[in-house]
Amino acid sequence: MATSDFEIERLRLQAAGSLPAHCFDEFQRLSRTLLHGPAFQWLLVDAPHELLREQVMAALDSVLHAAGLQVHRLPLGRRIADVATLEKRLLKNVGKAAVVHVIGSQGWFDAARWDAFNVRRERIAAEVRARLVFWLDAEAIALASHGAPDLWAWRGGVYAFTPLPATAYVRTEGSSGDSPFVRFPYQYGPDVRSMSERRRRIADIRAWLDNHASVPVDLLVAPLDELGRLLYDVGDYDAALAHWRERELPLHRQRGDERGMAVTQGRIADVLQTQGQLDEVLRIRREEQLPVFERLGDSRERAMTQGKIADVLELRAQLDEALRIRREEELPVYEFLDDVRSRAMTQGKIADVLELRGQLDEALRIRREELLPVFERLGDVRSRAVTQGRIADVLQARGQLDEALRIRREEQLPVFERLGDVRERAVTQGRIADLLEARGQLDEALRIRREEELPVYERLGDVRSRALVSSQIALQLLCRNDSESLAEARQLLEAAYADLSRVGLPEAQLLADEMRERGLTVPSI
Amino acid sequence: MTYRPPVNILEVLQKIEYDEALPAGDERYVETQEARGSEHTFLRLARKFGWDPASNAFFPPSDKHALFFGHIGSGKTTELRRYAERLNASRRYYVVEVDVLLKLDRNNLQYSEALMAMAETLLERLLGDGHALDDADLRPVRDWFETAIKTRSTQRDASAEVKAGAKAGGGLPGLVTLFASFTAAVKTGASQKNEWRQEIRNRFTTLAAAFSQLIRAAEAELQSCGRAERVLFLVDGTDKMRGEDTQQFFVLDAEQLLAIQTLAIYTAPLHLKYDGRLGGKLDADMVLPMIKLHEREGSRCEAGWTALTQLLLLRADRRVFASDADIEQLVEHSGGHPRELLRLLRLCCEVADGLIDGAVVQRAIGQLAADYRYFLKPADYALLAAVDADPAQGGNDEPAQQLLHRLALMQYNDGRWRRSHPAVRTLEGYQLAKAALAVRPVLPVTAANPPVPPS
Repeated sequence: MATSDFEIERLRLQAAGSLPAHCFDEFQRLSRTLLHGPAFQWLLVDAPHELLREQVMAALDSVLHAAGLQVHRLPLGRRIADVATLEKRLLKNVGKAAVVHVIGSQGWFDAARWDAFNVRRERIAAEVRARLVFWLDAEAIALASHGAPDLWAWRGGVYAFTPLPATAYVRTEGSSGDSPFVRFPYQYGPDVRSMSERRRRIADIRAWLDNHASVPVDLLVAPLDELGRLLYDVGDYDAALAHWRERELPLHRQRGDERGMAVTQGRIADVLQTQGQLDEVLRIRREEQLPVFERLGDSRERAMTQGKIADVLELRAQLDEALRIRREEELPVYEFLDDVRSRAMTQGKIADVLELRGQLDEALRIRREELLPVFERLGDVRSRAVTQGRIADVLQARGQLDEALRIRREEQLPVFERLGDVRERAVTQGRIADLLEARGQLDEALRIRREEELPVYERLGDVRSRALVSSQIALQLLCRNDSESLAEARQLLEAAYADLSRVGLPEAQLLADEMRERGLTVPSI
Repeated sequence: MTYRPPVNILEVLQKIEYDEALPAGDERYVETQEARGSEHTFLRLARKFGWDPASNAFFPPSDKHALFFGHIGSGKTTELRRYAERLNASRRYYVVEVDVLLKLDRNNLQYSEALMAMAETLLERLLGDGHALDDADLRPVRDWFETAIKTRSTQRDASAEVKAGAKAGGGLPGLVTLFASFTAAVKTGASQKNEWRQEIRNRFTTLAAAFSQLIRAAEAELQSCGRAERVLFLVDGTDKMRGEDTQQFFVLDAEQLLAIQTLAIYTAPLHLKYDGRLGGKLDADMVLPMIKLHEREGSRCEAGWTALTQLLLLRADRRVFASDADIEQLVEHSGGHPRELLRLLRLCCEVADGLIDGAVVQRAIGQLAADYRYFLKPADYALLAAVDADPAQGGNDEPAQQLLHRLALMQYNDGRWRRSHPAVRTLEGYQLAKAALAVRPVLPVTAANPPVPPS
């Protein structure tokens, strides 16, 4: 299956994030030029430390493989004893590998060998159309620049992966003092950092934490908080869950911070909700969070928690109770606090419910007149894109397919891609597939669901979304009327039904009805 | 279809290839004569070969072998292709472009192979353009080969390919095949190359005369059909030979090049002009100047800024950059060197998330400067700072030549003044050297007055 550009970009950032923080930027540069630069390049990498070099190469190769680029390694040593042999080995690989790692042991490239390589370079460039990555040390690179200036001028780039001295750490640009972190840097507005900026920030924070294990715990609060939110934002839910449970909750407990514990519990519940563990989510909201905020007299947090409870009720089709909470428990608080963003968000949720009830005109009015202007004014691109998506939902329901498709592709997708929001991007792709299906472009719709949507939910462990997309794929396959498609469809539907039933979601019953209607047996769970 | 520069940074990145000289007619070409201060470069070159473009007066020398110098990556090949186009269009010259790197193995390249490649390319061009030469004119060269093959046949069977070529038939096509088989033979094996080299050396006078006669015949044919009056070879790639081959080719074997009575231009590395070993045999006047961003006294050279901005915006659409100030920063830090500008652009593409903005540009400049850190030594920084303090000085010793060769030092106006690479000036080593210089008077850099300040 071909990996999409977006997915490759996500992998690239993930791989960069898996390396020591100070390698993040160089890895980004190197991987980008290998993926997107010309077919032939000669790149020099200063990587004298074997372990770090292996780590970088492994991270790099995972990305290159995902992009469909074949990689070959040529260690210089006994088997490749001179440049002529190196040239032969490079020629032998022509057409087989798009990227060749030439790994030079210390001292292998001396002045004579650089000279020998220099005189062959034009021929190698003409015949070996691959990206040649020379893994060397600073001494060998200096020799290349000294011994063969025209060869040096020919370099595609120089990249350095050198171990940091034990005392060094990466400091966030522009910061000063002991802690480079400010508490809640984006607390008062949307986080508009790109995926790459967030990954870089994750690397920065981890590096800082690694080098400040013994600082006072109070100093750890802000970086740990930001790190958890960033992990969640980039879709690394497992890491976020582990972070909140194993690092942040114990920290708040240690500090006796009741509010901090309740907020962190809420974040854990956010992840569990995406995994369909709704009973546990409701328990956390009602038992771990609400009582704390009530006791602390924090009306805003209390209202927000009520809103989260309403979210779960909506998922369980308890629409009247959800609407009551929104209108009676949430909205008045935000209006009292003059919190325009939260008010707008709540109105959006109300519009969702109205839409489910078929009150499309009122839902559309709320989104266009109450929500969009607020998000525009706040510069909240994510919320604006989400709202545009909901407007597209209504247009789609009314049969205005072209305009709905335009909004999905031009107003929503680019924003989520830039923000690195894998979930919202997948959701949007799913909506595009719906539209294509409605226009009769069945193959493309199926491709999107299989390649762009389903893998994301699988990776995120989002049981509900995965089951729903699987059932959509299955229903489309059923229309094909061939035995192979029918068998696959049956298998997908049974698995989806089992998942939905297991987590007690109402869609399980709907799916069972659909299966019966089509003459399929519903498995007993 | 009209050319449009790429608007996506990944597409920009994909299309940057440093070694690519722009062919004539390429839409990415930017006129740089005024920017280089080289309005007279073409005029001087043309006059060297006997043609005055202004008056169309024409009186060519019987032979002239001129070198064309320039920094690595400064646009020599691109410019020469434009010159070739103009010279061809004059109908005074039949310009034969020979890319020795394409035809021959750069490894151990000597005049013998270069001359053979020149002859082969001339014959190919004539044949391709539908010209024919009398067998009598081709006979001396063919005879030379036949004798050589006989001689070689008494030794090892090293001439199988050439022997096969000799049987390819008569006329121009047969001779083209014969030369092609020769270049193929010397390209495949070191031993064959050495044997042929020896053969050419032993009987060079005969070969030189035969080759010169062939050129005369070609010129007669070209004159008779009104196409041109003289053949002019433009030999490219000779600026990229290995160090000792460069010395051998341009210094020790210069007499052999001069033995061919023809008009020829050879590209040559800039450091060769200043190391004093050329000895006045070859014409070594012509330098392709760098694009100037500033005049010697520091005032802005607008033509340079305009040309490089234009060059940049033909490689990346204006929408890729956040502001004009970012473009200006990139141009400024290229020092007027086209390849360095492309290198900066590439670095920007490697680090930018979306637009190329001020922060991206600063990272790119820092990264380019870091490349120089690999080879610059404290003494180099001191020399660069000294040259910047007095651009007219800088000496011509080995360290200065090395810095010129590696682009840490750039020279303008045909070498009348020099300045350090602007990216290098951002390095701490340079800053320290500059600060040290501020407390010392600027003296000419000599052995008695070394550039390294006392610690």
